[in-house]
Amino acid sequence: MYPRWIWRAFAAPGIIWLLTFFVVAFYAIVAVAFGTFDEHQSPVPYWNPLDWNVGWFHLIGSDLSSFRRPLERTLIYVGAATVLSLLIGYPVAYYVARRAGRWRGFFLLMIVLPLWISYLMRMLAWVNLLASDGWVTRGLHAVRVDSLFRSLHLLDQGASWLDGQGVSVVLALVYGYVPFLILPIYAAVDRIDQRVIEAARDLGASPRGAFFRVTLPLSASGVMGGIVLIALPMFGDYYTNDLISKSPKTNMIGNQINEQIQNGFQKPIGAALTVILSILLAGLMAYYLRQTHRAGKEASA
Amino acid sequence: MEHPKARPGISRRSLLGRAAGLAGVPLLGGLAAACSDTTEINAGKGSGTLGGGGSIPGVQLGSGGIPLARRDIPVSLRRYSKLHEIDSGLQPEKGPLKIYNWNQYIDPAATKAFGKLHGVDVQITEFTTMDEAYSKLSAGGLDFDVIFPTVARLTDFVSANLLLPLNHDYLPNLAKNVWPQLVNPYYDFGSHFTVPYVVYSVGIAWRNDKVHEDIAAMKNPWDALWNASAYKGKVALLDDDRDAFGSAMLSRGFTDINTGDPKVIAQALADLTKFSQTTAAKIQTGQYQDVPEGKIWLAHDWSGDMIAGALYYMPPGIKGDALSFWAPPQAQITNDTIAVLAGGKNPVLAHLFLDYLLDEKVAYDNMANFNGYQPPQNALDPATMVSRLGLPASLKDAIVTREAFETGLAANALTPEIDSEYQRAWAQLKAG
Repeated sequence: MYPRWIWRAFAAPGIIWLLTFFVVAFYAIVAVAFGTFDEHQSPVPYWNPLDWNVGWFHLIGSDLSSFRRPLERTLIYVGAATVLSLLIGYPVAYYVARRAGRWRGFFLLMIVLPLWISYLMRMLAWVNLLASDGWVTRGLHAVRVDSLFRSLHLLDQGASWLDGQGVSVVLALVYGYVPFLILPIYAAVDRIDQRVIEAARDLGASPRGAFFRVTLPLSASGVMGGIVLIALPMFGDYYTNDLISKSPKTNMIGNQINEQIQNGFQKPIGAALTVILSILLAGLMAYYLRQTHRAGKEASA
Repeated sequence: MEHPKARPGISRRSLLGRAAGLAGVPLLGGLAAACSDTTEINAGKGSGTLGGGGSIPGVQLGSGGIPLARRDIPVSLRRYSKLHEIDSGLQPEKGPLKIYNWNQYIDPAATKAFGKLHGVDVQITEFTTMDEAYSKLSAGGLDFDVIFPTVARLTDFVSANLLLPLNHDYLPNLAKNVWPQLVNPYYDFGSHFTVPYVVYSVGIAWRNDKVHEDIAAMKNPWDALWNASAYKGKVALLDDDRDAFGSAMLSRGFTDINTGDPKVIAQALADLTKFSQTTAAKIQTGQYQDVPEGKIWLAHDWSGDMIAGALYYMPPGIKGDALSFWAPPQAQITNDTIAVLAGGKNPVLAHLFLDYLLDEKVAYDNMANFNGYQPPQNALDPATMVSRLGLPASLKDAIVTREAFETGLAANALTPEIDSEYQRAWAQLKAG
């Protein structure tokens, strides 16, 4: 028998990794958020919590003019992109897991394939495809998708896709993140015991009923995991917006943080915003962990 | 609203107030040093009473307690550095020469040729903002030899002892080739730390085959930019707070673009916000490529962008004469600089590199073959520059003349409070 410490030591590389690259780095951000700046526009972190200066948080709270709209937009864009990703991702994952047969490997490869190319390169490709004379723009125009979007007031009259349009940012977010949603849902659907569904049908459930009362609840952990996986990075995303829009009309909170951090004396505000966003996201994460923990318990019961 | 900085003990305002009180000596010293360098400068000009102690009307203090230089208030920075010039007559080091520069701001052929000339390797590392460069250099441990600082952040670099004072024995091209007003520039009187790199103005760039107004002939051409809702989505604003606010102020005929007046800043913010809302303007710096390519039709832009655009970025089938540039007679004009970093291992080689970039042919080739931004060289006559570069007449405003530079309005360094004010307003504009 091996002593117990050996098994514990297995966690050491991960813990050291987390301590150096997350805990220390995040504490540096916290120290800047509660710190001040010097006359050279460099932030001066306050490492000792007893010295902490809460002024930046006060400032953000008392004057929301630089953050309110980006925050609202972030919630709307991330919400819309998540729902849209689900509408696209769940059927795909379901099909690959249950119906693709011998093509399953091929489809999985197709889903993973885009991730072999850097996110930045893929977005830059879209910038060309969606330019006024780009192929996709012309294609969408030929099938009147742009007119449809205009009549739904999703695209400004006379504007092209890259002309600072919120809808383009949402679609770009969906495009960028949807594979990360499909994979966990695929894994969850794939894990469902076929016999459970057969049992549901034997007991009189319609195919629809079996899906909504058996398959969907049993794949909920995958759906939740996928949502967390895509929503968290979308909340902090700024480069999608920078590439697709660049207009303040679509700026999200990530853009605003990026702006503050590059903006001389405003760096501690950027750090404070990062801390606030992290707390919000930690809340979401905690909810997810509780749900999966509960689901795990129910499954084993 | 009290500023957060005010909360832990001492307030920034009182700190600076005290600094101003104490600074009577260095401030006067700085001005006096500036003035003693030449007899042309009137000692009292713009600086109020030089005899009394304490604050001097019209002179504000920036970082390091250094008086903020203005065109009519030249400041010598020499006394604010603890470092010393290198001796004359030294042999150049063996390299590699490490250059820290803005991205895509120097012709790789120029650095390569310099390397060949001295038998050394030349390495370029790029930064994207002055803040980034300053933070990394001030953290220490870097051994870059040469940097390209902006005039507005120069005092930060000097007071943090990051720049090596220059030994002019290694820089014969400075006095020989460079516009006289930049041999002794107001922001670094005596050129103790910098030599000028390129000059540029801020104006309006447009694709004249897409935009049909004759912008240059308008009563107030800035209106073409502010009222560009017809070109919604195809409009851009420079991603530079000071240049954007400066243009908004100029369009209302207000020429003190370094003002700290909150009302003026608020008015400019309101104008820019309205502009940004009605045109869905992109706030960016890629105009040199996007205007030639037709992604942007109408833009707030730097003059050098359109020269580079006409020379290098025109798509097939479209000629350079589709580009136009306008800048007002009294324009926002400034220049970037080149300096030697104290942390470098090749100070002599770095001096030689500065001098090399001030060589007439090297400077011209760097503009004509790559950069598009204009070196302030005596031999490059602005009158013939347009034809020499093969530029269309529609871009003649993109060449900065010496006279225009003389009356130009520069976005200069500000006090930390006023700088903060601009940065806060800029963040509000970006919130959309």
